[in-house]
Amino acid sequence: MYTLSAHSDSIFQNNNNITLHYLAMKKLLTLVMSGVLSSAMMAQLPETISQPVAKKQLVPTVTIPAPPGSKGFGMPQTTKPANGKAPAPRPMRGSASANDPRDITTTTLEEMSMSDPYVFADPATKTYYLTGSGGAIYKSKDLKTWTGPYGAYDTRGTWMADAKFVAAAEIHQVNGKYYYAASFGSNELVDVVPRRYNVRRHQTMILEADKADGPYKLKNTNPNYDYLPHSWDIIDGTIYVENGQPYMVFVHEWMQTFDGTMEYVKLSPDLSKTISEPVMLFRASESPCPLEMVGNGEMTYGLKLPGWVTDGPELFRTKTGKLGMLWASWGVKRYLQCIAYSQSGTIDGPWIQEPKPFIDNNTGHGMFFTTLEGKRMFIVHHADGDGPRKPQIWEVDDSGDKVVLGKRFI
Amino acid sequence: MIALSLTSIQGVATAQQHDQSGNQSKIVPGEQAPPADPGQRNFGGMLPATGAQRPARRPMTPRPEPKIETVALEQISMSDPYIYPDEKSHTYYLTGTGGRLYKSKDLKMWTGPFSIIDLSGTWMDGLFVAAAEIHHIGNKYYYAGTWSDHNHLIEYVPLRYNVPRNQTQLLVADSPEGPYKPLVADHEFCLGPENWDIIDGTLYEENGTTYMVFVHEWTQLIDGTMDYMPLSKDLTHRTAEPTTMFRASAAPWSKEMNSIGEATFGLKMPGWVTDGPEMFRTKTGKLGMLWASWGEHRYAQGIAYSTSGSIKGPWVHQKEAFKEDNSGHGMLFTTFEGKRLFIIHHVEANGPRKPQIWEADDSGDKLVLGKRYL
Repeated sequence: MYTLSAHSDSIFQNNNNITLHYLAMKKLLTLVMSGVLSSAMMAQLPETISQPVAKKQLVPTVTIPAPPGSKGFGMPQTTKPANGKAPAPRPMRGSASANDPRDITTTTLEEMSMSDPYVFADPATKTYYLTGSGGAIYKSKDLKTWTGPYGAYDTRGTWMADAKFVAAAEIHQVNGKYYYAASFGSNELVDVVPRRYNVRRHQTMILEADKADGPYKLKNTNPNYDYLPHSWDIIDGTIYVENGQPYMVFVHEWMQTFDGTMEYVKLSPDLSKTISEPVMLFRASESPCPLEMVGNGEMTYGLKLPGWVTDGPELFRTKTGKLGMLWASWGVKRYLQCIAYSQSGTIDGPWIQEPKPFIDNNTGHGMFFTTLEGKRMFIVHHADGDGPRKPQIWEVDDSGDKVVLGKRFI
Repeated sequence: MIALSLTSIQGVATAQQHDQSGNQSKIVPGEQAPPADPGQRNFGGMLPATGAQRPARRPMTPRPEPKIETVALEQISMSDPYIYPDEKSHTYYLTGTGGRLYKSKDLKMWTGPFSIIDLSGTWMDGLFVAAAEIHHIGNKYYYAGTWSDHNHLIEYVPLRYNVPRNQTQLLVADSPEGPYKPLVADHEFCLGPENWDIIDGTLYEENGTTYMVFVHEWTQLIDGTMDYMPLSKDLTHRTAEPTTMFRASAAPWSKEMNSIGEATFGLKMPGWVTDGPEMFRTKTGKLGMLWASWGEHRYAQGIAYSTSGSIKGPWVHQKEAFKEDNSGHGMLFTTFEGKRLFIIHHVEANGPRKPQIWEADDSGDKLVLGKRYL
């Protein structure tokens, strides 16, 4: 991207050896604007332009494989379960489309496997809605037995229609509408970090419905819309409203940035588009809880990727009005749950990291919700060894300035 | 990034950092990485961790030229030493960080320091020079050095670092003793991409093309890289954009800075360092690269070898450091008697960086460190 500065030479335009160094990506936006469009021209652009500027073919880079037998996220599981049975295959649902036929069953929470669980308690229907990675919806009246999976969205006609990846889905109610925020991925190569990672398209998208059941649909009229720059690897976005202004708080992935970041953008009142530039809140390495992945022996998708992970931001307020953020990373006992508190009480922070994990031992990506009876709860996923990720519900006490973990509820 | 389409910038309100003419305006410094703990190991001086910049440079009053003396190598303090043995005058020339020149006939006694560069009319004038080297190409002598302008920020990496302009530039002279003058007279000229933090560039020739091999700094990238760019025949400009050869984290002996308790400029900056590339060939024709980083015993010298024998690699790292114990940024040279030697700097405790010369055996496919020579 560096060549797109005002001094770029046309002789470089056809060179495929351009190295894409990630950290200047943040300036990319403005570099492109300086190199290609003046800001005056930008101001005249209609809101829904879909034709891309001349685009260079990205050449995939070499990646560094993990040594055999490494532990890690997304790796083939080599250890056998104690009971001798073949390990349950990991559900890799490519879609939670409301248009696909599904077998609906009722199970207990313990029987379910799910990463990144999220509970929305809907006062209108007096029903709990559970979603997470995979994107499908389960419903319950008592948090104990759940019926599903129900399809969540209708993305036909958008870039998400052929998504191979739906992660960390959430349901929010804002100004009377229901919103579904989930991270969608496609196989489109959007960036190459040399000798590290081929970055595929990942964006957290916000879909809208009139009821919690959905089907959720893209509100933005551009079917190829990205909430963040197209070449950014964005996951785990959540919705947060402060003084009437809706925000998306999201992860800019460490695989692209090495030191993963937590950032926000402001959203339009109907949440259909982004109306500000991203603002960074903190980097993963600022907290004492996460450890550097390769140093900690954690491989990722079978690759030796050094760096620090940010995952799963979830904002909350304590009863005393303090603003906090749950987020997840990897540390001494593998996956863990971090908390940061905003000193100013606003999204702009500064965000002060708690020195100890809120919960660890391969447990994280949790969120707080309030039962229909007004009790504060914490839902989080936990993995035993290399077993599947399973949701757990814990009691929490948020009556003070800091949330305190209680006892296991389910 | 070229992949960035208009769709991705729709909705972005303004381009606040740029004026309407498309010129990039001043980078605004911001909060940097957390400050080092008191007494923590720390490379370089302390920088304020807030948005404040380094104190403005002292007004340039011509400092008195250092007295020319003849001293033993042990008496010289210098980082990143580099020796050019000049066959014609049968003289060894020593330079490095600081950029001045010492001369010797026997490697033991050195006369200097001589000022040999004239940077008037360029942005580098009066600025400190690091990792200077002398190369003889064609009938000219080239001086590669790295200049750093802390009053010219090229990027602010949020909550990490205010990145100053750092570039390795080429000067030229007719004699190894200079005076070396900028190869390109333009005041603002930069050989590398202008918004890359580039240091420690060296020159290497392969199949008639001269390349600059350089460090793209970890302070900007988190995981520092080694890159190369081909230069024009007259070395005045690059003929293609840089290619990444490897990342610091790829070497097993290079450790993440915070994990080994190393602060940098007084800041706890996480990441992996690349430093000091120097290319060499063994007697069996293998292409190797000496490069430095930080490891279990502080500064360390490593080696990578190119499997293909070409600059294009792939580059495979030795499992262990070639030399550690707070030593690094070394290079190989050949004496007038044909002996291969290795010069490197070493630090004892909190002492200054001092050059050492070691014997090195390059008769096999891999370089083997011999005994201390000086």
